[in-house]
Amino acid sequence: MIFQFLTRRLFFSIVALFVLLILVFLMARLTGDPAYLYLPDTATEEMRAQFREVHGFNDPMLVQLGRYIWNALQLDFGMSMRRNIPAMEAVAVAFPWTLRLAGITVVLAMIVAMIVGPLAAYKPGSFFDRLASVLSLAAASMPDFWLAITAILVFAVSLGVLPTSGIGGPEYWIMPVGVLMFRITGTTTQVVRGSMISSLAAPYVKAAKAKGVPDKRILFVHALRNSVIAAVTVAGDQTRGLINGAVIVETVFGWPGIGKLMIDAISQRDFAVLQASVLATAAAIFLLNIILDLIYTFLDPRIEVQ
Amino acid sequence: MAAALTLLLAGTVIAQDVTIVLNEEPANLDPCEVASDFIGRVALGNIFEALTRRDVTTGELLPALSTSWEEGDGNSWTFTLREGVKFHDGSAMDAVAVKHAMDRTLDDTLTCESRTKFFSGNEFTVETIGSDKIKVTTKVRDPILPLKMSNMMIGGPSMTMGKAVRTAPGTGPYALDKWETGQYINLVKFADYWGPNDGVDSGKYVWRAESSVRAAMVKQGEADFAPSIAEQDATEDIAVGYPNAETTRLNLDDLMPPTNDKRVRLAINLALDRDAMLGTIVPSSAQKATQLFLPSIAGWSENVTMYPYDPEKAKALIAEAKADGVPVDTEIQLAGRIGHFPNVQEYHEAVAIMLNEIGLNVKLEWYEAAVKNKMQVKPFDPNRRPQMFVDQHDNTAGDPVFTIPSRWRSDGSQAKISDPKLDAMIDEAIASTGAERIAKWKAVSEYIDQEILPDAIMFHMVGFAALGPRVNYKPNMTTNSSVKLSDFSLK
Repeated sequence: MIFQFLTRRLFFSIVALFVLLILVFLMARLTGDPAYLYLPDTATEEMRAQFREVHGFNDPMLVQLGRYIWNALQLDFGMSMRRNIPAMEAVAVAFPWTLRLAGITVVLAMIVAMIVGPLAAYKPGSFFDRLASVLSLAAASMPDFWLAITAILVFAVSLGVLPTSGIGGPEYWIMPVGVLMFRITGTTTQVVRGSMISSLAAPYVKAAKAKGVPDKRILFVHALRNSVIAAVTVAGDQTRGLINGAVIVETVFGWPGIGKLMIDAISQRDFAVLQASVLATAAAIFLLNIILDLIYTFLDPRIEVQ
Repeated sequence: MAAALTLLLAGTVIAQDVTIVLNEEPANLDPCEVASDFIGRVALGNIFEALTRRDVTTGELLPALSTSWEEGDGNSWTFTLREGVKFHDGSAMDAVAVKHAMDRTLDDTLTCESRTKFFSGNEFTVETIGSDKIKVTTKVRDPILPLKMSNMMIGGPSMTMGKAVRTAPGTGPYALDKWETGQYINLVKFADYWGPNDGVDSGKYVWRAESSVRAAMVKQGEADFAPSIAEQDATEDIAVGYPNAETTRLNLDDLMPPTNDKRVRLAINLALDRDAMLGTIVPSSAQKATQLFLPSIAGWSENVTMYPYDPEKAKALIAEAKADGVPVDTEIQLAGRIGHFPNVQEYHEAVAIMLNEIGLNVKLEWYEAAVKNKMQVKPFDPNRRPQMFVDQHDNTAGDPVFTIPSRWRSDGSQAKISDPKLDAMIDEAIASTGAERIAKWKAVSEYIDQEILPDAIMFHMVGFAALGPRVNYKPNMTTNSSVKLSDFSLK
């Protein structure tokens, strides 16, 4: 069953990737003519025509698309016009940085949410619950850009305990992960809390209490397990966003991830890098979706893959 | 102990190196692309050199990879190469290698910013004479070819013809040591450099898009120099202001009403309160400009008008034009480029307000760079509304030929005027040399101002850099396009 599920999902993912590739190819070319970016403003129209000729932009769109698909099938995703390296090489350098940042952020956010959410739900309306709700709501609402700059001003410039930006040892990860964690932790905590309140009102919890099961076990074993699915759904959604690249955080902290790479590729009309970035990101997201579905079946045996 | 640990954690730079933080990572280090600021800041004057070099202070053309040059018969120049020069890969810089580098730059099949900017409009043939001379012959005589050659970087013979490269060996005082994509570029002193090399031992270039972060890095000692930061981030402890060679103009649509009427263009010049903008929207150390290049460029004329702020006269001119049937109420599109320069939004808003106050109908709209660039060059959209642009131009190459023809000669890529007399004057200036050349360019500038007045020239801008306490360095007008490690020393 699992094998059939995986085969089917992989097949449809590949089809979706193919369609996406075509869409991105066409939409990228709607953004404008790269000749106006890659040549100085003193260039003549003849020079621009030459540029288009050299890079194949003069060919009919279908010819360009066909050429691209044929090359892509041979794992040749073209050259970055700007960087003069294979486009997929640029992506291969940037993507792991985003994946690591996303992975660490989501794991830490889930841990915090799984602790704070149940504790807040344990006594709804209590001081802790209200504090947790206010903080998680505030965290979910804070704009990344403001948070990132403020963190640099406080921890790097004023206190001097963390580096301003860049990558390196563990100290370089603290602010980027912390900033990204804010919103995800806030959102996930709210979801876990809500789900836990529902779970704690369920008959099986009352039965467990009547049997004398300790509160801690009821909270973190029985009720939480049934609330995790909601948290995983939200976390999965947030992870998809992070895999696309936390552009603002990457920009502010000088993080060499794929978000900034993609934004730069769009503004620079570096079509090959843009297409390769979208392809890699989409493939990762499709894989994530498959993994999430498998996680659901693990968490709740009543859910079957079909 | 705690302080030392904190410093270590904050990533303090190691002595004998300098760390420079740029706006963005260079796309590549191809010698053909160093005319692009983001590439030149790392490569120009560090990795790559040219046959000649222009002293930005005096304007004098000096020897570099060539020791002398002379004009010959038949539209040619012969350059004598410096002996004993090596590329960073150990290969010799001889006539064959230089010819290879020049042929590559001049090859039409290679996208090359340097060729497009400095070597278009003529045909070149490069020959070797022995192992130490290069002869360059042009189809049309070019009296300033040696000056133009200061913009043609000489990369090593390993570069492939017709193909862009990520990096290439140069002859400069610093060689590429490591390029960690997305993170940093490290240059180290080239032990076999042909000239004096007393600068720092190495330089690390990093990049951060956000100005406040670049400034913070310098404050915290994570970087020694940030060549471009916003004025609001330029706090007293780190800020250094410098003329950055950029001149702004309001580029008017001379082809479409109402700005095809000279009275309207004059009114626009009189409506702009440049003094009010200084110290508010534009740094107070910027200067009002009359021409699109600095006074230090030979050919700048002191006789070009500095237009005063006279809104009443401007209104009168608009009324006069309107009475003659000029449709002054036509909506004029002021197309701004997002993030073009610091306070660009306020700059455009001020311009729009001032022009609307005299009776024009200016609408401000924002575009990203590629879209705006396309609007500004030929072919112009025949269905457009009349357009205006605020553009910036930096001429550090030392001659008005790099500014005027493309903008105001009939066949110029941005030209919206067509004046045969002006075309002839420009052609004469291009073909002349020495004092005659300077005089002719002055006459061209005066003619443009007095007879045509196609645009409103506004400011010679200044930039702000952040300089850390470890280093001695004085930014100048070329800093935006070249940050030379040899100009740095440690205190």
